[in-house]
Amino acid sequence: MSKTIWLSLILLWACPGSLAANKPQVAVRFRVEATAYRQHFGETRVAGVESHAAERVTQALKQHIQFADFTTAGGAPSEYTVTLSLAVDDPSTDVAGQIVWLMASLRKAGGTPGPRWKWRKFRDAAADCGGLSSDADCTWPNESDFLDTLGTLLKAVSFYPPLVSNVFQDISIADSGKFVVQPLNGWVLPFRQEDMCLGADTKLRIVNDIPTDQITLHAKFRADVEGPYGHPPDSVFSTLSEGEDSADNNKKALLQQYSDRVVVRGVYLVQYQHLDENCGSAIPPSTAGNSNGGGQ
Amino acid sequence: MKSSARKWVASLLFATAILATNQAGGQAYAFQFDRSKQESAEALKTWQAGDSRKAIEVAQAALRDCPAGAPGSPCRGLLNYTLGYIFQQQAQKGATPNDRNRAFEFAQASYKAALADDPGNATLHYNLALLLSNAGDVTGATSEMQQAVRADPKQWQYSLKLGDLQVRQKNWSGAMHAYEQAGQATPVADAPGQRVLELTRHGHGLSTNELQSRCKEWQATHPVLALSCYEEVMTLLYSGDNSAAEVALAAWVDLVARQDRIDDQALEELPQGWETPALSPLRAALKGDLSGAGNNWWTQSGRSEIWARFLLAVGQQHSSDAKTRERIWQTALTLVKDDPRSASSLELRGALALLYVRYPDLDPGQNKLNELVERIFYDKMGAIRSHDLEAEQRYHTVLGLIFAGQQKWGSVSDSHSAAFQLTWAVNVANDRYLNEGIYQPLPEIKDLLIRVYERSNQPALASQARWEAILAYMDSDQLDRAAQAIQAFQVAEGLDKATLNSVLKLRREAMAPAPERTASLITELAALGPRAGIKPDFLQRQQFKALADVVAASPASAEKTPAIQAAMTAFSLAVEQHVPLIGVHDLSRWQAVQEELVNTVGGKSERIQVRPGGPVGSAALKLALPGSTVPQNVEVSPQSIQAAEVAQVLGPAKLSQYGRAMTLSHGTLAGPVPAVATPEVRQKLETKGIKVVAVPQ
Repeated sequence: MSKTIWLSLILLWACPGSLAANKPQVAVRFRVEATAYRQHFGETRVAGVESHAAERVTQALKQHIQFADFTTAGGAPSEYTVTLSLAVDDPSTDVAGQIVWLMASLRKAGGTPGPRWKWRKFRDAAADCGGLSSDADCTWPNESDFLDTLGTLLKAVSFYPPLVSNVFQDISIADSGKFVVQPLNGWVLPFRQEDMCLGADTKLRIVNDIPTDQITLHAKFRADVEGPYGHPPDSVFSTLSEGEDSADNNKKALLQQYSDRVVVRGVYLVQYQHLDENCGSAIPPSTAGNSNGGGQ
Repeated sequence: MKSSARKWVASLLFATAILATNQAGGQAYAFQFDRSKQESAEALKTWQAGDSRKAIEVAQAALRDCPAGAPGSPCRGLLNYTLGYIFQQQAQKGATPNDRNRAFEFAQASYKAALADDPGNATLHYNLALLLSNAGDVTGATSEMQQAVRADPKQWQYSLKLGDLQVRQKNWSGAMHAYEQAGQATPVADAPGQRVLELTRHGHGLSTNELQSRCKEWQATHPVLALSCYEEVMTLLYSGDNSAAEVALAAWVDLVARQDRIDDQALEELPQGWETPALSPLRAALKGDLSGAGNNWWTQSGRSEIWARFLLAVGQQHSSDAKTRERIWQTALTLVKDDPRSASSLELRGALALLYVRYPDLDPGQNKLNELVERIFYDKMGAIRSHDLEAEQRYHTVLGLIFAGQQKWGSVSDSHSAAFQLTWAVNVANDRYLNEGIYQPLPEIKDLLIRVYERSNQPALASQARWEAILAYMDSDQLDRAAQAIQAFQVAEGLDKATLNSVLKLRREAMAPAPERTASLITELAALGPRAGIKPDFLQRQQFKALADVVAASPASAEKTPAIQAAMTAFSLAVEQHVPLIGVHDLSRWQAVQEELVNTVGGKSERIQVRPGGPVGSAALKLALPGSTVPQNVEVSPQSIQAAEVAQVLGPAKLSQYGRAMTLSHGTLAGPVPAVATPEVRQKLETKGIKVVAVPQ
């Protein structure tokens, strides 16, 4: 098949739905588990604190992760739910002497929760206790200070890629794509790089069906985000890197041999790099000052 | 009418409007008041509410009312910008390729029309570059982005995006240059460094030697980036130069431990299949296996200090198992306890002492705790005898924390009390300010002192400690916390709360000053004088921060005189009056000041060099980073000093007028005749070693 026909076919495939990037919906919950905090807030107030904390986390996730739509839990049903827990390693002893963690876990609708992962240290052991070991000797924050501390912690850009690699790695960001062998072995994926805010150092896991003449094989491959694809560049090109394991590596040849039959079943993030601060968004005009320029 | 047809009509109207305004020439318009800002805001508000058609109509109608010719330039510039922006959003979100293409064409036409009226507007160039990039015109996008960078070099995101565009064209050297330029404009953000690492990973960036020195450089100011950097060095070198890769591993382990980033997956980023004896002890320790902890690659190769710090961090992970913690930390302490240069030995002793305070079962007779405390006292005496203030400060701090843990609040005359040790930690830090020029605000220690005095029922001292904590919050840029603390502060004799509140307000205002307020803000900052409880050195630090914030917030297109004035004063405070830098925010401020002066006289931006320790030099500023008692030196380049001297001689007004036509390179200033040709100017500059070349206009 000539290169021109190839490109035309890919563009025909990519264009119609390319901008209708339906991002996965993720509901956000926040749970205050550490007993000292629960008791401090009081059982009647703790639900309110959790709700406000969930809103803070949702805002932060929206700002730092663009491949999914985050909403606070309680609205329309979502495909995924991420739960952030304020928790300690040993719930049976005082919180004072323990590190308090923000732990994260993901649950797919209808599935069981994934393992909890220690995302961020919320409080050092014995912080605000003057080095003491008893909860009664510590100062615990009021709701406003608690939310401020949470907000400050959530500002650090560098903490989001590990969250994706360890918790959101099971979220599929697309369920279609086209494997091509020209100009390089790789996949054209049906979304714009800016829409998902994927930086060039993002690594994907692409799950494929390879219908051979005898049997349909399933194979997972790693892929590197290469950059925008098409004219206009409404898609993303990602280059084939390696199989998920040695068995998948052995299927590389089949992937190339049956390239036009390959069906993409899911696209997952192994390593996430945020494209840039505003994901290639235009800057609106500022109408406050003398200048027309939209200050950043 | 269907929505797409409606959009068509709106678009046609718009095209007509563009033509009309461009051809208006000298026609007289009766429109008296420029309402373009209100109309632009109204259009954007309407667009945000979801009605793009009406938003476009609002902006188009206002555009038609703009005065003709030069007087209407700002009005047309803003409204065409507004239209371009709204069409650009449509171009991204349109349902069909036709809708998107149409919106793209209109957006492009609007931006170009806006640029005709406002050619130096960096954000217009930036938006147009994004638009072209999204449409696949990478060459056009690159050209626009280059103009955006030229128009406003302070916006590092523009340079970053320019680098990304160069990567798409496989122009690796262009990309590298743009990323380095972005890094120069922001000494704080990690993104430019990350891009440099990516290019390097793909074989187009730094050489191995450059990468290694960059890793070292990033250790103090970009610790997360430094980790990725060392990982890259190991990946590049482990198969060809194992010993260099092991050096990188040692630096990486030290950083990981200092950042408390130890967990089960900590070693996953290291090269798979690397066979070095350095890795197995790390893996074993992470699994809790200490059988080989006393004798392994780390202890044999003289890297016990790093190994002990690693074990300290591993122990912190076992927060629910006190016995395991004790075992890990005691093992680590055995390795470094007799090394007088070891910093981790003190940290281990402090950690163990607090562990025994919290878990008395581990030390029923308090023998272990007392022995640790005695040893810390003993070592502290050694530090005092050898006039090692940095070490002495650490000893006081650790003892203070231990005594606070034991609730030995005490008094400033009882050395076995928290009050004594924490007060001395602050006193020694102040001595270091006088002797070494490094200023550490220490808000956490001052915070703890409040509690110490409250618990020991010393209200006057508690009030003084609250005041000191507020000053420390302001010094460490925790302005919200300072505001809360000022509000809660009870008026006390000898402490001028009202003035402190005004200083805080000025600091906040300086972060985003209204253009018409900038000049008066600078005057108010300069007029600040000492008051009760507010010393001159504190005020100077606040002046530096606020003036530098004014510089950073000044838009490229604004009138430059106030920003140049602010930069000159901030430069003088830092370089001539030795106002110390505190934290990475001050580093960023310093960069803004330096860049403003260098750019104003046509110099070339430079990367800030930060190096640990060293003696105080005339061309180095002192920087304190939170959590570290070790000072950093920030080099002041000869070009910056010359730029400041040129600014001093010519003055802000002249620079604002002629700066764009000047160049400063290798000690030679070339500028227009009216700016530099007078004998007085020439003589003053040449006295400072700057050669002057007058260029006829």
